[in-house]
Amino acid sequence: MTYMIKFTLQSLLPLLMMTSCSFISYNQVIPLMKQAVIGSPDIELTKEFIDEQRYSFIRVDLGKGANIIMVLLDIESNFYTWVSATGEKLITYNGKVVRSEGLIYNLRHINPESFKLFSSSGFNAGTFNLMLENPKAFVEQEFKITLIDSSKDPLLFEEEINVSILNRNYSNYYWLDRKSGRVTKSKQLIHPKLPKIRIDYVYKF
Amino acid sequence: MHIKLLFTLLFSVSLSAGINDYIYPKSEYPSFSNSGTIGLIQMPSARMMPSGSVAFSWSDSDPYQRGSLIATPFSWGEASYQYTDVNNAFYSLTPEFSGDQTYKDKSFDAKFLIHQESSLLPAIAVGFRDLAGTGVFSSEYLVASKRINNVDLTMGLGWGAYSDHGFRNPLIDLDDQFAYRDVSDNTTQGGEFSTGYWFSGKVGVFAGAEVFLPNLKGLRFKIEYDSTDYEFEGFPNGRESFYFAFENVRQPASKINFGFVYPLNKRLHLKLNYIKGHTLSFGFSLHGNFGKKQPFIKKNDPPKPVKDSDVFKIVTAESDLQLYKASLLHLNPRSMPLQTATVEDDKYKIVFSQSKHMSWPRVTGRALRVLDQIAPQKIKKFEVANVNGGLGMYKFTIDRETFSKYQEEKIYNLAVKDAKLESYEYSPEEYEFRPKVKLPDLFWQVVPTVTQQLGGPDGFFFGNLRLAFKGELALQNNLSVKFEFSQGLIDNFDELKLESDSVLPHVRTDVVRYLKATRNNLIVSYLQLDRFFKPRKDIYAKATIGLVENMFGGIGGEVLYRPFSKNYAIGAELWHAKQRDYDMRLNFRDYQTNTGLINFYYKEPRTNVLIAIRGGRFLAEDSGFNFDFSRRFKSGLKLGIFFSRTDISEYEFGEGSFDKGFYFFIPIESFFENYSKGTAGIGLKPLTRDGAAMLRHTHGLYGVTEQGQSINITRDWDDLYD
Repeated sequence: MTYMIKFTLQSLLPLLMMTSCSFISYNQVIPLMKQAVIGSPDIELTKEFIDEQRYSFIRVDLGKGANIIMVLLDIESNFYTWVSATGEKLITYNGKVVRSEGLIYNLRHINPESFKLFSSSGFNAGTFNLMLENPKAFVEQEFKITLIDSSKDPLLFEEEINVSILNRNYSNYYWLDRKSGRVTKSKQLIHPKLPKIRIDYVYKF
Repeated sequence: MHIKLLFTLLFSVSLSAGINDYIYPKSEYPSFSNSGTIGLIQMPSARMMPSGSVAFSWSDSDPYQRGSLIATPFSWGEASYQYTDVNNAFYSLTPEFSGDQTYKDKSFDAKFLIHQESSLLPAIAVGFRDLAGTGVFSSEYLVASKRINNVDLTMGLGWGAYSDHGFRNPLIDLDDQFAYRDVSDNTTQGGEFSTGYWFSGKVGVFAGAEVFLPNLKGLRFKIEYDSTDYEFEGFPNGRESFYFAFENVRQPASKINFGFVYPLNKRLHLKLNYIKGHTLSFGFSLHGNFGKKQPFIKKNDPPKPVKDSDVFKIVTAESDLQLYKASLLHLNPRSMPLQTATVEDDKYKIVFSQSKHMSWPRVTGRALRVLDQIAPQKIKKFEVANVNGGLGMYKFTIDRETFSKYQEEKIYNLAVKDAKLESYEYSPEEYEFRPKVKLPDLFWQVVPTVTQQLGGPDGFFFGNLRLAFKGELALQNNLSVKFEFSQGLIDNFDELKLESDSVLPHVRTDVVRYLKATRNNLIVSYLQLDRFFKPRKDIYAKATIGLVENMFGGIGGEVLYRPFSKNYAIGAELWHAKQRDYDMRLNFRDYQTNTGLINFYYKEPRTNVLIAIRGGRFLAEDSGFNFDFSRRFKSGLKLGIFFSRTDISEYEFGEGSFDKGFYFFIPIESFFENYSKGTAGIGLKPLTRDGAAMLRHTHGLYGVTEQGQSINITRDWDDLYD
């Protein structure tokens, strides 16, 4: 997860350039600047790429210059654990990230089972309790999950979140494959200090 | 309703420390005032940046545009350099010379925390503005700041320019001299520490608040009562106050200023203020804390393991030669070139050099890791020694078992407990394996460089982007030619015009002539032949001939006594220097002189403060002392101040009265995932003058022998397993 690193670099490069003198090796600066401004090339989920992968995986897109592949490590009670090559972990439940480890900013849902896409009433609502890390804080989130597009496959669900203490409202989106009943794509905000991420899920079973 | 809303905004009850970091994000750093120090809008506060911080602040508040460099060497001390473009005064009285250039004022500010904030009492600081400058902004203040929930309240007393609507100075009861503040008595060339009028004259009161607004991405609201005396500060009355001034400073319609600070991220702040009841001001600040080990970017440059380590151990068990070859094979690509090696019973001794890591324990630990992975079982002890320029620096001896036992848990303090760190004398003939180096050997690189002048009287920044070919031609183990040639590509030197008015030999003040003569040309920045010696234990020597710096060539040398286990060093240097021609090629000007200095260094181990005192004869043939105080931080950042006193008069020295300034060296690796030894340096003086000028020869012995003193190794033991 290098997004925040790049963000920091973007903010510091003006200082670096300003203080430049003969000690600086500019051949290091130029590629880093390019990466900070333009970003890294996307990992494309082509058929060849998917076929090459032995295990189920997710592609996590953190925005400009940061998309990574995380491989499915474990499934337990519908909690999927995905791990990156550098050891960061995301744990998803019904496609929602309910826990992270090794990121710059991490989170842990206390009651992740509350996240259900389907409900007999047509929508599911309630409260999530979660611990944010770095800095550590306990937060309550009110949520409401609604099926907003049932005409297509995959189905599109909207999760409206209200964090009253932070005066913040936003929506997460989940695309559910009708046939497998699994989330295949999502756009979600997992931590207030991180940008919204997009996840593509590729299952090999 | 409005009162309730305002109250809620101003005094939002804190719920918990953690959640507040989300409600008021990016609030770790205090913000900067238009004066270029931490503060409110125009007024200072008692807040400080964390120790090891460096910042740049820029503001536009009519009639001033101000760029400031701020350094915080200690958590209790802040020093800043202010470069102010005074837009109601011309550069000089001669219109043909000034053009539309306006007056530039340079000064230093300082602030000292005298009481840290506690649960009941506020932080209290005392500060000095326009120290050792022209004095047109001179002020002193005593200020207190107290944070209550999301509001940071500040109140202070100001003297000098901060004393509008002032009252009787209570210090008069101590001494009558505090009654009057007559800055016009200052008949020096400016730049003196004119302590005579500090805290004199009437006293003004200022106050204000910085309000952290909840859930607005870190937005802050500031409001203050401004005690600036705008009839005193700068050149308020046009030509009545200063010959060069051409219009009056607009006087305030209101003493209440307010504005906003918006942190784009935790290091970059934007600000917009409404001041004096009629003026919009704006600016930004950029700051970073280099006091941490890895201030910005987490390093992703781990030690590279040896592949097939077990196979290597089997092969190296066959003969010592195989072990030497394996060492060469694995140390050299890891930027630790092997110089010599030998096996003595169960001890494996190697000598390496390196130019990648700032931390000596880190590179030593990495060398040990390699040896541990390739050496056969019979090796029970490692002795790793370092050389630089052919000079022996240190040797570190450790039991193999001890090193590997604590490696996984990185318990460095136990690992080094029984290890031995000693001074090292390099004798290659003591080693069985001495890989042959084909000499002469050329190391070179082509890199862009910038020749720059910061904070000059013609403008804040002048730069020349150049393409440089630099490197070193090694002739023998400790004899080499170092060179840098460069070609100018693009510059903004058109506006540079200030000629030297110095009555001393122009050893530095012809800088504009050098910059202009070299702008589009191929130049030789330096071209010098160096020979290093270590005649006795702890004594180092260097002899040099050539074009040793931009403005001088010459012949000379340096000797340094630097006992390994002590914190001090004493050295001497003597040069015959001849001034180079402005085009910086191979020709010389007429001026030549002998210059020599006795150098004393002392490093205080707890704070890592280095005191350097140099005394002798300087380049302009003046004699005296240079005092230099610097502090090194864990990241490698070095902050320093200096001043010199020599036997020339203030008149001979010229504007500024005596040589002084501050500098910092920022480690380049702070901005990258990989380790590197490079630094970006900036030195700032109020003015470039000729007095107390020293020869800036590269590869000075104190720098070359850094690892020849144990204090510079033991400070970083925690890097041993990095």
